[in-house]
Amino acid sequence: MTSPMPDNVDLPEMPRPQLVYGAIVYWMTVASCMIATVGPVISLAWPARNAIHPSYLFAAIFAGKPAQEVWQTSGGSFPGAHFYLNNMLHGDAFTQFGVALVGCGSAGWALLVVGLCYLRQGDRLYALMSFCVVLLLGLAMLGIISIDN
Amino acid sequence: MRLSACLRSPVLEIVLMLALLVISFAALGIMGAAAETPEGGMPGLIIVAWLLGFFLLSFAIAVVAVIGGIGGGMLFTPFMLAFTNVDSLIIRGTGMIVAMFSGLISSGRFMHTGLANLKICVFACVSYAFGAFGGAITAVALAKHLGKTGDSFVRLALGVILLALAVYFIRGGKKIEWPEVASSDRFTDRLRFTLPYYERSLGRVVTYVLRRAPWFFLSVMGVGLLSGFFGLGAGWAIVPAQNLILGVPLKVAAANSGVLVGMGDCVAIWPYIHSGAIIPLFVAPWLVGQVLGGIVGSRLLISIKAGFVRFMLIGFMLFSCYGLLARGLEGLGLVPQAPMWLNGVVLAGIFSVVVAAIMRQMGNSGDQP
Repeated sequence: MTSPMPDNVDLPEMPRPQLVYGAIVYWMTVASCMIATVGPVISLAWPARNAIHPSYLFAAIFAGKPAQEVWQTSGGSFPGAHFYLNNMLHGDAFTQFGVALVGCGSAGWALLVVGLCYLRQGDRLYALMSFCVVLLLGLAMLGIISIDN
Repeated sequence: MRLSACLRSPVLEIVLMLALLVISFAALGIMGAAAETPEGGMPGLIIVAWLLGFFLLSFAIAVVAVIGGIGGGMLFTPFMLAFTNVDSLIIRGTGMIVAMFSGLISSGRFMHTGLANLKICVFACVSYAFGAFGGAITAVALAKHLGKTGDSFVRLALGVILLALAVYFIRGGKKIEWPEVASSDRFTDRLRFTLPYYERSLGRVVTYVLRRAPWFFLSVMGVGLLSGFFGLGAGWAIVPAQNLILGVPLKVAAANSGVLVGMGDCVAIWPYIHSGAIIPLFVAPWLVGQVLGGIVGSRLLISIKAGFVRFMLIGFMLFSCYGLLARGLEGLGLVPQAPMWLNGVVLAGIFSVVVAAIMRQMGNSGDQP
């Protein structure tokens, strides 16, 4: 463990956007980790309810099958990046929710709040930069910018 | 440790995550043993063993990567590409998750202490995100249109990059702990980057002046492109870019790098997710291992000397480089598959060099590693 901060030094105050970003990303990452811990348990408890049956998943992956063929292992097809919206209580959907929306989206949600903090402080330049990244993330999450479009 | 300390962050959430992990694996073990195996399927206990194995490997990578100062993505992606049959798009997508989550979990601590500078990260992220997103799109397109041939080119290219990086790390690379920047330029001044922070090793508050922001912006876009395409982390390039171009103190540059990779890869990961390369049950244990390993590694870093770990990691990178070049050339039909004995000879050779380097360092410093 690190030693505590000394008492006799005037520590600089961290800007609010900085603290806000750190807190949001940290806690969303912790939440994502917890969801990713529980998700596989649900997958194995109800294996037939997954998009890919767990019993066939790893064999397909280790056989070197391309991603789309792995998703077809159980007779289905890739249900899309946001398939958790339809089947939140299924194991792999719940895991996907934790990995994708919570974990991979954490910086975007944080930057959205950070942008508003910068606006409130009158710092329009960094608000604009934050919103730029949020916009790109939003377009990426929606799949609007992709090789098929 | 007192109970009151256990109920405060970060101890509380670490304890909760560990408890959840133990309970989950216990439940998985019971269910795996009791589950019926469908025809042609993998038994439940084997599935659980794979999940546990991936978690432990990811945890070890995260701990060692933090201590050795080489990102987890640099270890995961090349090794998996070199020595497994797993599809390269799945590996690169999962590698990006590995690189990203170790950065994300350290963001809170670095932002709170001021070691990372949010304004530099946001500024860099605008270019990094575009570059990394473009790299990821290119990776997916290449996989779609070139198939196995594209895979082989990717392995070859990554092997060459890894070799160059290993040489860079061996030579120590040029780095300046406290760059002396006489004056800033007008453009960089307007960005108002400066953020004083308390530096423990010096026992005082440190302020730094920066310069050449436009060049930094351009260089980071190129780094993002490589990172997004190969599914690696980008710390190996972002740290020197900040340190040598922008004039950021080395420690701050390292902290910013973790935050930036976490921030920027949140954009770049989405082409992989939309192409189906992120498979939830495969990715989950790697993610959990990175988060928990990153927390443990950052605490061990304070008390462990990193020297010998760095040599081991460089040796690991060199072995992965050999594997990538061999697989790439084999995929293009230029060489036959490398026999196991050759892999063993190469591994033994690299291991001998690593041990010799560690012993030489011990002899020079007169100290234990």
